[in-house]
Amino acid sequence: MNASGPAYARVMCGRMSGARRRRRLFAAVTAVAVVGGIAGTAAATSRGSSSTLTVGVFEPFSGPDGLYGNVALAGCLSATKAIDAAGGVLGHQMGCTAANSTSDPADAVPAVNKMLSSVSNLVFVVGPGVPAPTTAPLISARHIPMISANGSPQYDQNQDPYFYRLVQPDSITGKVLAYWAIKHGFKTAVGVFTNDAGSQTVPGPLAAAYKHFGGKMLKELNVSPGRPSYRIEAQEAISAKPQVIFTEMDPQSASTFWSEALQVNGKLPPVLGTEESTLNPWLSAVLPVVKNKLNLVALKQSDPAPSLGLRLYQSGLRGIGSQVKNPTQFNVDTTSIADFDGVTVAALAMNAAKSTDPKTYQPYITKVTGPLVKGAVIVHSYSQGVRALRAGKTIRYFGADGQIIFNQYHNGAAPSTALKLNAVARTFKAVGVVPVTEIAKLAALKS
Amino acid sequence: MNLVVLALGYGVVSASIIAMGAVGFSLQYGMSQIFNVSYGAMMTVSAYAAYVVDVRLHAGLWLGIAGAGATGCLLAVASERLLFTPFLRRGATAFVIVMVSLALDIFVQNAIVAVSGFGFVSYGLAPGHVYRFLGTDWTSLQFVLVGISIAAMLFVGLTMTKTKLGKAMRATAADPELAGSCGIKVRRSTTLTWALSGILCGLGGVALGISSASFSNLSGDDFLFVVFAAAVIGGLGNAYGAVLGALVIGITTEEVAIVSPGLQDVAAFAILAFMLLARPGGLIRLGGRVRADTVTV
Repeated sequence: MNASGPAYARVMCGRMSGARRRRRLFAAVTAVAVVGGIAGTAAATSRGSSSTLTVGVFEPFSGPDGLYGNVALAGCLSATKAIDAAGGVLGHQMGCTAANSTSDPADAVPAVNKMLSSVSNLVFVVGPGVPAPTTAPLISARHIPMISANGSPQYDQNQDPYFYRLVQPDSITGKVLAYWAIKHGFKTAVGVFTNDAGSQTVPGPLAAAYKHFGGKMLKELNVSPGRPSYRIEAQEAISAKPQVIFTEMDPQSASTFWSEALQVNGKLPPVLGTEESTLNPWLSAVLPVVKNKLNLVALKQSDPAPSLGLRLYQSGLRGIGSQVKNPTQFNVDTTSIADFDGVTVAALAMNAAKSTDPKTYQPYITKVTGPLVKGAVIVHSYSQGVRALRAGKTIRYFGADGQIIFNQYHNGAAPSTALKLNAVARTFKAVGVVPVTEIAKLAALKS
Repeated sequence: MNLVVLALGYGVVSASIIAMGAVGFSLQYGMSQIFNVSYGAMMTVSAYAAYVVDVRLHAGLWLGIAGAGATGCLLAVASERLLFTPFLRRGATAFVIVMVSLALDIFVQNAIVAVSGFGFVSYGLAPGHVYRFLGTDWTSLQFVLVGISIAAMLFVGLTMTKTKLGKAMRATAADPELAGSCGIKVRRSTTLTWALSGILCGLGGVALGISSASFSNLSGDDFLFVVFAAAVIGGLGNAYGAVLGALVIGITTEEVAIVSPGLQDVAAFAILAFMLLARPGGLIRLGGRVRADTVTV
């Protein structure tokens, strides 16, 4: 798999599970005030007739997390493009409206209220990410389903019927790392994570699972992000002589740490990383300083087999260049793909419910997805799904990221692919998969 | 290896980077009593300037460092002349000035994003050969950083103490009206102080970018807290104090990393809080040493 396009999906933020990046002193302030013109609900990005059904993309479009908005918008626009090409939803066209949640959770509340009061025909929301705890209840109160990119464990047992999540929870991410390490004979390890909210949701489940599988964690280093040096931490990590190092760090912290780890004795043990280390910003920051000395395998939520859904998603991206800058950079972006699937599932649910009323169609979201049942037709696209529904069939949508199964907490499960980095070519090659069945077992494992 | 000794060596490296920022920041405050929150953003711009010169234009790191110093200088003088001074002339309070500098910080941060986009850039420098001595180890790159810092500190120190210009700067900082009545060109002294602080800001920015191995539009702002802490601990407005503050912060945070890496920022904040409570005037004042307001011209 080639990750050379800047798939910024959960950059530094792992599925945006916390105010990860913005532990920073002034980042929050930046987010408050950044580019005033953008703040609040932004301009509609596609068709605006009164009969158009609107998907609100409630993600940050300004401030330090500003790129996430475009990640989500790209997924939404790609989906609505396919939906409209197939005739729309029950006679309505579908469009996406960017609603700037800003990068500060405190500003997200007025922003979501503004979206809810000003966007007409709002039938679905892509988001919220980081500010989900304060804003998701407000969206739910309007009975509008949403697809969130928040990986926080607090949603592992989500009870909000309108809240759905397709990105891998951070708790699963940690367990997948432990599972892969043990499966490949790494019995001793050191964990190096930044101590921001997002990264800190990984090490706990990771350590518990690793111990459960018989591994020994020699050191757990939780470092302050963004420091100019991690020499002591690097010294401790390398001196412990681990068989593998688990890591999730933002690009800048990672580049500092790994360059200084090299300083200790000139070589690095194998490294197991999360999806973050497959993203272009991470590679841009780290590879110039460690070059080919980084032996990295990253576990990323994805189905290694290219699907029709993925091709449709990528094809859709190519046509939205006027609304999202360089959209093909999100070709393999997990979050954008999840948003594409989320919007498509919502549109199919409307067809299944024969209603665009959010409260009415919401229960159908889990009726067009889920485990295969007798007589169900597998559909890989919105158009296939609509045709099957019109023919009176029960459908199961297999999206751009493969089969979609929401559990009782509305958390979707997907396989994880192990990607080995070729640091010279700056590409990744799939070297294995943790299948959905194993993911489900790992989910059941106590953290 | 003894981690405590190692941390001491690493602390000196960190301190050398902090010192450049802290001395520049302290000079600005000492001259104009402006708590310039946009200082971090200016460090970032300077680091980007070095990146453009070194990586994009392939002109080499040394020219990049010079470019960073020049950029910092230009930004500092421009902000002082075109932004802060007009506000001060209108009688803006200290709070208003902080807000103005905050606005400038936000503007600059977003301007960086507008020009270069989100993401991280790197000078792509290998750490170089590792030299082990006295129980610690430094790379050749770290020697370069410490060397630049020492050279910059010496330059500032000599300028401030051995030149007419330096004396004029200190006199202006101590009492602008009196300095003016003594024939010192206050306006010129102020501008030159900001230019000097800008050069240090630029050097600090590029040193941060080199040390961190990569940086983004927020790197300078992220780093600003330790710069503040060093400047305040040393005694705001006191260049020598800032160097001492940088050493305290740099070494302490590295030593704390032995106990718990996550507590480095906490340690810096704890020292800052303690100093603000115990000696708001800073370390140098504690010893009654050199201060701008004790200088006679």
